[in-house]
Amino acid sequence: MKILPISLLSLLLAATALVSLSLGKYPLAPGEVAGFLGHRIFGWGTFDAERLQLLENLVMEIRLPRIMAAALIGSALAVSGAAYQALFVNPLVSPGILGVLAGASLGAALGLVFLKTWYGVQAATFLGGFAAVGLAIGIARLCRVNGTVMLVLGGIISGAFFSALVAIVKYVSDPYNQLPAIVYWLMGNMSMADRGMTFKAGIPILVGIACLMLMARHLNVLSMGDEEARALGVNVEAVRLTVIVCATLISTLTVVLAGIIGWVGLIIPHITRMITGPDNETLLPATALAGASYLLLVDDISRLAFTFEIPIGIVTALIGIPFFVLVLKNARKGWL
Amino acid sequence: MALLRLERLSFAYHRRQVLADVDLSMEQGEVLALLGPNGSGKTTLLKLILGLLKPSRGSVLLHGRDIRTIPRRELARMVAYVPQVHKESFAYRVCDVVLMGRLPHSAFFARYSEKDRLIADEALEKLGIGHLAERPYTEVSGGERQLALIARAMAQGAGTFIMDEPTNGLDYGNQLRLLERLKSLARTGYTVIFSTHHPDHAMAVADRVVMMGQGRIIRDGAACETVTPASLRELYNVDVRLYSVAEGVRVCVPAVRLGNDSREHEGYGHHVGSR
Repeated sequence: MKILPISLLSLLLAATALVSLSLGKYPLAPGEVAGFLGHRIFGWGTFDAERLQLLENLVMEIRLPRIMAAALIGSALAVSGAAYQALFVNPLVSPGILGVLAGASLGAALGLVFLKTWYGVQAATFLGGFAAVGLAIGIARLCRVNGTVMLVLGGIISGAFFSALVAIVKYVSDPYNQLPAIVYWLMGNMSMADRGMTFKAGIPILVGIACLMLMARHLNVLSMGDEEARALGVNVEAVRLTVIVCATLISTLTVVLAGIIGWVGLIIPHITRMITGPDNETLLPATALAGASYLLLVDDISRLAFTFEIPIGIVTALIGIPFFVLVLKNARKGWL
Repeated sequence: MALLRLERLSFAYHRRQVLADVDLSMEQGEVLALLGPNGSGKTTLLKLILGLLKPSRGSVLLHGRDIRTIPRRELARMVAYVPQVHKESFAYRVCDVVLMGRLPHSAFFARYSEKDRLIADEALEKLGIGHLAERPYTEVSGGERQLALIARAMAQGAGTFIMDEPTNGLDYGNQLRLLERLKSLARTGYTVIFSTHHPDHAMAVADRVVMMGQGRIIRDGAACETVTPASLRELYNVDVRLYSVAEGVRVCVPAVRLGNDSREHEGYGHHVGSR
């Protein structure tokens, strides 16, 4: 693991978080926020009681949960993207490749129409993501070709299938209440994430990210091809399944928290790989930090660029797509 | 006890018999070249020895143990695979690729230790590519990549190397340099099995040549006795001549342009008559 890029990206994340905590309808000075956090955590300095109450409300109650959620979602999407990319030896795949996001959105849509409770929607989203992966792996197995290409194709088929099902649910849903809710969800929206949810989804997200980081060496070896990995003593099927389960778990949980936020899982691992190189022992922690910083910045834009909030999924797509075209144009070497 | 023994080893794929009743026994330190046309079962044989394919009948015994009973990680510490040079890969540094060889030596969730890094560096130095350690694997030449894969096999700590056409895709100079490396590996006691399309490469490096055709072993013996115009004709259905150019050094020359009159070549070496 290279220490330098990790420490620089940690600093970047800390700075971005501080700026994001300061920005809002009621702007604060980043210095004051830093002072407040120092006071709140370590008991440093003194604050006027009234001001303290205001900061407590603004920073701790309103802004922090959302910022935690954005950072977690950014990390989860970036790490799962990097893991899928190593697994499929293809720098152009993303969490969507196994149909995870499509499956999760079907779950969300069904949950919004039939279950209507918050927990019901969460559970359905989660199950939908796993069902989509299951279908993708099932299709690959059915074709009896034990290779990554078939798995990718299975994912594409699975994604198309679940997208079609989402369209059916949209079509039959109540156009006055349910349809807007589904559409809103599918666009990706940070304003849904509250403190309780962030906490409940945050712990499994962190565990999933940690598991993937611990398997970084195996991901490196797997990206050299199945046969080489086997010859190096890796139980390829078991490791691949564990990686898929972890990466799917964390990317599905982001859908639970904030709907579909595309492109982060594709472009952030790409950019990070340009800085750190492809070694997953460095890449995974680096991309987690970069993804968190990126989503914080994008969330700031979606909150503050206009008088109304734009769904974050739209912003990540609008920034991500042209950026990705630029990356592709510069990536003459082919394999980053 | 033989280091490696194949007993009635057979493999069928979609009901097509790829390998039929192969018996082979190898001692420690032997260098064996597999010759045979495409589709003769060379690669299948190598993959069976590595445990990458399951035999449909027969078995592969390593130190007398059926490799199916040897845990994968333990097998990886005994037999290393040197694949053909990759066309596509992420741009790992050469030292990261070599470090992968240390994977079967550590616990699942562990990190590479200082010792692992030292062993990887040592392997790079031994193969004379220490200066490439920090370079991206995808940007060094094909020959250097092949050397990096050999360094990885050394870092793996295995005594037996299985190499699938190690000179394939290399330019002429790199082919010769690689053969030299193979020869010096053999001198340091490694057991090597490699497949090749060049009888010259087999004769240059191997003590023993096994010729395969249609999934069977056709000939098996000392390199100098096995590679003959007659056996090559049988194997590839082509006419070649063998010339002895120096003490113990023999080369194959295609008969295509020689015609029947070989007098004009007298100055180059001694013609070994077809047997």
